[in-house]
Amino acid sequence: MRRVRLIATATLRESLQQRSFGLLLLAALAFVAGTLFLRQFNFGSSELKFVADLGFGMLSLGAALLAITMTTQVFFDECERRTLHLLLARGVSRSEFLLGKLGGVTLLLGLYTFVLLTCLCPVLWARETALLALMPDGFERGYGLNFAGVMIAAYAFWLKSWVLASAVLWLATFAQNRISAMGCGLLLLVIFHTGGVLAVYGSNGGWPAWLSYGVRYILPDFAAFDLTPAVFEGADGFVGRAARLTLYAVLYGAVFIGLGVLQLRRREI
Amino acid sequence: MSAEPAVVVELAGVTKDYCVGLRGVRLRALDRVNLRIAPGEISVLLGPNGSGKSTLLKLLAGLQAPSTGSCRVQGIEAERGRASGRIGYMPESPVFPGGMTVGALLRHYAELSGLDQSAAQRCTAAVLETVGLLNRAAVKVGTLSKGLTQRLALAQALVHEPEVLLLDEPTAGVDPRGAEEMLALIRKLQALGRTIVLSTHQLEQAAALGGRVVLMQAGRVIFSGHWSDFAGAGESACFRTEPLSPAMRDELAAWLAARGHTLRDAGGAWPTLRARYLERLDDATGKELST
Repeated sequence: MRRVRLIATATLRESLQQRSFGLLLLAALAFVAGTLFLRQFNFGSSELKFVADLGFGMLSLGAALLAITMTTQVFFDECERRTLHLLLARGVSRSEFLLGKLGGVTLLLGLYTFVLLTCLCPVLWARETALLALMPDGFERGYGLNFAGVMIAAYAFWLKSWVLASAVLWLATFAQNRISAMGCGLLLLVIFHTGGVLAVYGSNGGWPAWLSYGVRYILPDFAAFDLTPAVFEGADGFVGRAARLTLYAVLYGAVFIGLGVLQLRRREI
Repeated sequence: MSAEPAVVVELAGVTKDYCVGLRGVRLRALDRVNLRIAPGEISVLLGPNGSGKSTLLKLLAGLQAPSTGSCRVQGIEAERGRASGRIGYMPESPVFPGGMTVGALLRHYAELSGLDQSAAQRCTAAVLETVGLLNRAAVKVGTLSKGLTQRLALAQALVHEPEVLLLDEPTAGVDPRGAEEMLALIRKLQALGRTIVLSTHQLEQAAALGGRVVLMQAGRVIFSGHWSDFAGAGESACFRTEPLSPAMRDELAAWLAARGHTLRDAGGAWPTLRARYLERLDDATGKELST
């Protein structure tokens, strides 16, 4: 575990020095802060939902892009710079290497989620306070948002990006170059989101039903990671869902990393 | 009491095949290679591009597994990094993360080699002194010149104090002064008792290191022996002298004749190291074609 921790720490440090990470984070923060300008329009109590949806949309999109680009980058950087040779020649195993890389990216995704939340929460709180003062009867429960629910929803998006990162790491172990790994990663992101759509087509039976079963039960269903209703409905009931979702994500993450280790053992370094 | 093994590095019937392309076409990188290297010996791998030098080093470093045969370092199978504690590997022109300092990078590699923090600190300081980078410990890696980066690459191979050093083209891309410093460093390490296996294309540098020459072509070892044998000293030796007077020439001829040698004037046909090298490669190619 010590080697995994060392590789993860080095990966995080290197990723933080990447300009692309800084730019993406700044863009996401600017976008979230920019949602304050929605008060220029008269959306009423719906404004809060708009702001939350846009904020979580940015969180989800940014984390997915980071999971694809950074995971590919940290893997291929080690291969192309020949520093992977130095690790393996020291007796670092393929599984330690992949777990270390995934650990570093996981920390990076966690940092991105945390920073975005620290921007989104004050924005949501400010708009909630203002809207409650303007229209005290506009909210059924007497409050607009549940901040525990905000945390749970953000945690679910972080888990989703973690599963995507582990899948991209698996892809990278047999991809010839980083462009093909990124392209296939984007494709996976789309495929993992199609479970819900295929379920609608699959309800009529026939081959779409089989395809639907295949996609939904073999591949991870990213629609399951959307816990944003907890933001408005409260955290009750969502804690259990988040726990089950954690197991679901860990299972898929373990499968992807296991496949990655098998493939990396076969790959000529 | 256990006696030190007479052979530190041993390759026995090693063949390495790569599968290339979607159809999995087999490409033979090493073909039935046998090699035994004694402790404290310096062995220089020579040969054209694609002759299998880097593959041989990778097999010894445990980065790849042989298709057949065995690679042993101090009696331990090198496969999958089993002998990693005894090996220091320097790949060809590695690129280190530019944002780290020289000291931090070496500590990182020392800890990855299994040393605890205090041992890593101690070994880092020692190796920085050995390679002459002690005054650059706090410098960012990205600001180092190519020559210094190569020294850093050597330092990372040394940081866990291995017995065997595997160096893949250690002077590649380095200016003559930097290359000379690197060679001096390698000689110093050999004098400290390290067994060194290195690959290079620079014949003059290889000659300067002396030791054993392993000439490779198309994955096979076509010559393995001492430099003097490689340069042809067994058959003839060339010496450049000041113009000799007829009396001095006769005296030298008589002295050599008494020892069973004949003096001949090489004239303009001075056989260079390069010519010997190409001659041996051509001989091997000719033999292969005739069989």
